[in-house]
Amino acid sequence: MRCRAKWWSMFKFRVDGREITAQTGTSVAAAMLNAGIHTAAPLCGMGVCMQCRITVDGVAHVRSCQTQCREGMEVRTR
Amino acid sequence: MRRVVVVGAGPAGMAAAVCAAEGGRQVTLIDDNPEPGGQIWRGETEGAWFERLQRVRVARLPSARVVTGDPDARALTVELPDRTVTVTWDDLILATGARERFLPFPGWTLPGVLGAGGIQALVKSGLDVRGKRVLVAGTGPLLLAVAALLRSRGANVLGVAEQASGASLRKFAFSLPWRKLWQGFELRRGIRYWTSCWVESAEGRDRVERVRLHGRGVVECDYVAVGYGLVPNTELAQILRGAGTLVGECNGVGGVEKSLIEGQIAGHAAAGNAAGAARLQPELDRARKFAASLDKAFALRPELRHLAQAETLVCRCESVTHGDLKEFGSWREAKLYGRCGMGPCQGRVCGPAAEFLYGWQPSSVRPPVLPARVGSLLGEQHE
Repeated sequence: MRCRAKWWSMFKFRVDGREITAQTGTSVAAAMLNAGIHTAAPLCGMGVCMQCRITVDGVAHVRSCQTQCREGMEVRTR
Repeated sequence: MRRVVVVGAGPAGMAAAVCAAEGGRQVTLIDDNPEPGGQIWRGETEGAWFERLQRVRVARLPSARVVTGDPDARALTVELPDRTVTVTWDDLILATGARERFLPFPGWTLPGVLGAGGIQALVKSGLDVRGKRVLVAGTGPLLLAVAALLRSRGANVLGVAEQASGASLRKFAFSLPWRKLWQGFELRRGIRYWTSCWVESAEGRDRVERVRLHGRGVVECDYVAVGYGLVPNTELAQILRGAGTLVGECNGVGGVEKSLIEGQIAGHAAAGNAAGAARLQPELDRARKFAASLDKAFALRPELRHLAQAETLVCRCESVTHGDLKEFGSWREAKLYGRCGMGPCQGRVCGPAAEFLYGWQPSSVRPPVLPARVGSLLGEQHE
C-alpha cells in the first residue's frame, strides 16, 4: 500500500517554519493535509482551482497539489 | 521529420504520443503533472500504455504548463519550473482532459471540502485517509470509483450521496453492457449509496466537521468529497482557434475507453496511418454512445441551484458571493463589474457553476490561459 510509510523513503521539510515529514512521491498538498495543516487547503487536487498556492523556496504561486515534496524545501503559505 | 506535439499525458495523450511515435514521428509530450497518467492513472507506473510509452522515443516535458500559443506561428509558450520554452508543431494534438464541476453550497470553502476527483487525485499523490470518515457526494459514476479507492486505502467511507434519482439510475443501468454493469456492482458492494441525496451545507470551525444531507440529517466527517460531473478543458483549444485535434475528455467527457480510442486515432492520423485510424472507428462510435447515455442519466437536478445563500462565495478567487451576482445579467457583466472569474483560476471553477446557476454562457477565452510569468509573455528564452 502506497501510504504505508517506509523509513528509508521518509524525509523532512518545513511549512511556515514547522518541520513535517513526507515520503518520496508525495505531493506537498497531501503532505500538508497529512500533517494537519489546513491553510492553503486544496479543492480540486489537480492543478485547476489555484486554492492551494504556496511559496516554495522563495518562488510564489506554486500549486502544492502539482508539486512533489523534496527534502529540505521551505514552504510558506502566506 | 514532421514534429507532433501532444498536450496532456493522460490516457488520450499517452495513446496519441505512442501511436505517432510508433509510426515514426518525432513526438513531444507536454504535461502539467510531474508523471504521465493524467488524473485517472495518477501515481501509477504499470500497464500496457506505460510500457508502450517507455519503449518509444518521445521527448517529454513534465511539470509544464502551456500558458499561451500562436496558431499562425504554430508555436506554444510552455512554462517549465525553471524556464520558459517555445515548442513548435507540424501536427498538434490536444488532450487537455477535464476538470470537476463544483456547485457552491454554504460551507464549501471550508478546508476538508474537496472534489470527488480531487480527493482521488490527492490520495493517489500520498494523502493518508486511514481511519478518516469521508462522505462522497455529487453525481456520476466517478463517485463509486472514488468510494472504492478510499475504502481500499483504509478510509471509513460514510456513504455516497448521488443527486440523480433511483429511477434515472435504473434506466441507465439497464442500458449498460453486462461488463460495465458488473463493474458498477463490484464497486458498490458494501458501500451505502443514497440516490436523490445531496450535500445541503457543510459546517465546522477551522475545517469541515459535519455536513447536512438532503433528507438524511447531519453527518459528522473528516473530509467531504463533492463533484458534480466533469467539464472539458477547452481553454487552450479556444485560443488556438481550431488548430490541433482534440482527443479524450477535452473533446467531450466519456471516460478512459473513449479517450484511448480517440488518442490512438489522432496518433495514427498524425503518423499518416489512415488505415490504423479507420480500424478504430466502430469502437469509437460505441464509446461515444455510452458517453451520451451518461449525460442523460446524471443530469443535474434544479434543486441544486438553490443551495447557495446570499453570502455564499461563488467565485472563490475574487470573493464574489451569490448575492453580489444577483445584480448581473451575463457572465461578461459579472466579470467586468463584479470581478467574477477574474482571479488566478480564470473562471475554471466559478464559470461552470455560474453556467448552471444562472444560465450564463462563458464569453471568449483570452491568452494567457493560465497565470503566467511576465518573462514568458515577453518571449524570453526560446528552445
